[in-house]
Amino acid sequence: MTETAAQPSSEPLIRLERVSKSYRRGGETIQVLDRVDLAIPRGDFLALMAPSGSGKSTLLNLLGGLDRPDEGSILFDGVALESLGPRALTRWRATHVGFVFQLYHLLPVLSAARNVELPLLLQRLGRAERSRRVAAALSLVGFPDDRHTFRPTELSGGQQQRVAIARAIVTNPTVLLCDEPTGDLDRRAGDEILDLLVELNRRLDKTIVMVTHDPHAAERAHTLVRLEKGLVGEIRATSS
Amino acid sequence: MTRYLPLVRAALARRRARTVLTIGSVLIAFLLFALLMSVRQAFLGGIRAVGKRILITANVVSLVSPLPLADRTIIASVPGVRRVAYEVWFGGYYRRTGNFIFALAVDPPTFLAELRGELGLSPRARARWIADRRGVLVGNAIAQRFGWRVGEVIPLRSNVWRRTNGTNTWPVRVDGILRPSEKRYAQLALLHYHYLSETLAKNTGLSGKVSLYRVEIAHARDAAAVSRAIDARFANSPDPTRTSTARTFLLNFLDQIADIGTIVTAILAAVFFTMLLVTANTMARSVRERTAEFAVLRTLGYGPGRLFGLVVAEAALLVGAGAVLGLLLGLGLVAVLHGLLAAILPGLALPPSSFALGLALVVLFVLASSLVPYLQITRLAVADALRRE
Ligand SMILES: Nc1ncnc2c1ncn2[C@@H]1O[C@H](COP(=O)(O)OP(=O)(O)OP(=O)(O)O)[C@@H](O)[C@H]1O
Ligand SMILES: [Mg+2]
Repeated sequence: MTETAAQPSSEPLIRLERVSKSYRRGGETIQVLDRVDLAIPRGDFLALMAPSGSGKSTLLNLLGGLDRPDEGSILFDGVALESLGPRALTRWRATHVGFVFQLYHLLPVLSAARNVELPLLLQRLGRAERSRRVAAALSLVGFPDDRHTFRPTELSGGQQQRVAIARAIVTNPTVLLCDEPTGDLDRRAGDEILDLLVELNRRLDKTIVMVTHDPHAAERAHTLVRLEKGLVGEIRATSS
Repeated sequence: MTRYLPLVRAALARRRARTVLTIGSVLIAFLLFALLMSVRQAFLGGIRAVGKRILITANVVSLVSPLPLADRTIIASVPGVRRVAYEVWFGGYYRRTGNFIFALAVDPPTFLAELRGELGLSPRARARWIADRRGVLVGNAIAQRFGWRVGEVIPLRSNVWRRTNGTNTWPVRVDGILRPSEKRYAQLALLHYHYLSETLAKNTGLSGKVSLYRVEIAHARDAAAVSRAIDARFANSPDPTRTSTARTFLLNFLDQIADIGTIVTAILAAVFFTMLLVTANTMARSVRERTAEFAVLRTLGYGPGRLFGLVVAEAALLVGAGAVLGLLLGLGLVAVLHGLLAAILPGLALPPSSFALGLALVVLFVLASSLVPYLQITRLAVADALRRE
């Protein structure tokens, strides 16, 4: 066993053990992650900072089961993701993970409410129950009531990101994985989104992993992790 | 499953123009399908019903070359032959040559005996006509078209024959109206052979001759043997014959005009192949354009199977909508054409079997056009697709 950052007292929600990932381009191999060890406690709000191209998104994709490590193990609540088959991994993702992206990734042809409804379609829920949950999620993220039927192109960036966050939390997942959620927003809208994430973490006890370039954004998290040259560098608690 | 409908509908609404064009091309394919299947039915549909115990004996040279009336007794003496009827092509029309009438001059008793119940003729009309040398029987379609009534005398004209008096008009009295179950008889008019032969100009070359013989045999299984026996009798005569079943005869006759079956199949194959390319291309493009969207759906917990299901639903809506609209439009058009072309193409109607065939084609095209999307979806690398944005 290698040394991890988890406190021995409480078992972390997510534990990465010697996780490596490399890509082949042409003849050469790019080692993006090199035996990364990391433990994320339940209820943490963790900011992952690193220079561009250092493997932040890669790590997030591994955490969300969108990609698989070459080596090492990712334990989520005691379950080794590598032991899950494709179907089980899809189902696991549907219940435990909510993704938030820099560019929102809303479906442009669907209204805000329909976008939020998407993950609920996978569950056995009646139409009324789905609308109720959609409305609750949208109100939780502070999305204006009179815009539910608006298309993404008819919304501001901040509003779109609120819809995306509502879509990520509507199934009440265990963890939110956010890839530069404020990267495409101005300072004010970005701050509002950060306020929202802090709120979700505090009030609903959501575990959040947020990738960011922005030191200002990283300050809002509990824990800051720096990734350097494929290795986890500094880990420290932030002031907040 | 209906809960996914808004998603499928939205996908189709993404590129409205392309969706409409694709549905339009499917529509046209199925419209053509409906039309051609109806034409095919009009040509070949009746043939299946042609009696199996009827042989046609005609001049080996061609249909326009007549056979001596004297052959009748020789044919009748061939073992296996029950009854011999004969007919002459009259080439009738009413007033204008455009008002074509499918008229035959026949020997009434034998002709009626062979067709028995098929003509839908009342016993009284039958008796009246047999006794009336200048009488005519007309199918109800003709009677309706020209407003003819029983008892009326009609100046029936021929585009083949000329009378001794120099005209080509034969006044005939309508003795009865045929109300047949089969549409092709509804376009038939029947005259007495003797009325025609007696009044015919001497230089026509038809005196004592007929166009062809309709030979009824005792057992359908003897058709080939009896045909050979008949032809053998005339092999060394001045007018050798060719005998075949009525069905084969009709098919050969149609083949001389055009090989309808093959033409219809070839056109439809080409049309549907083109349509398949259009739909398959639409589906492949639409899925490729939405690679990032599919990746996002994967992050939300949609599996490849479900995404493929959505794409199949999309294809089914595209093809299904086009097929339904095309068939409906085709049905309407066939109904209109049926009215307009009653004289030329009786029995123009979409056979019920076309709907089953149409459904099979829909299923085939949905599956075929989902093939490329299937590969696109199962090979989708989610992480890469999200990065590409
Ligand atoms: N599919 C792939 N094939 C080849 N190389 C890849 C692939 N995916 C990622 N990489 C490389 O891996 C490295 C890490 O990529 P990643 O997207 O994780 O970085 P990042 O830290 O998220 O960068 P950014 O801050 O710009 O988003 C990059 O050098 C990238 O070019
Ligand atoms: Mg990144």
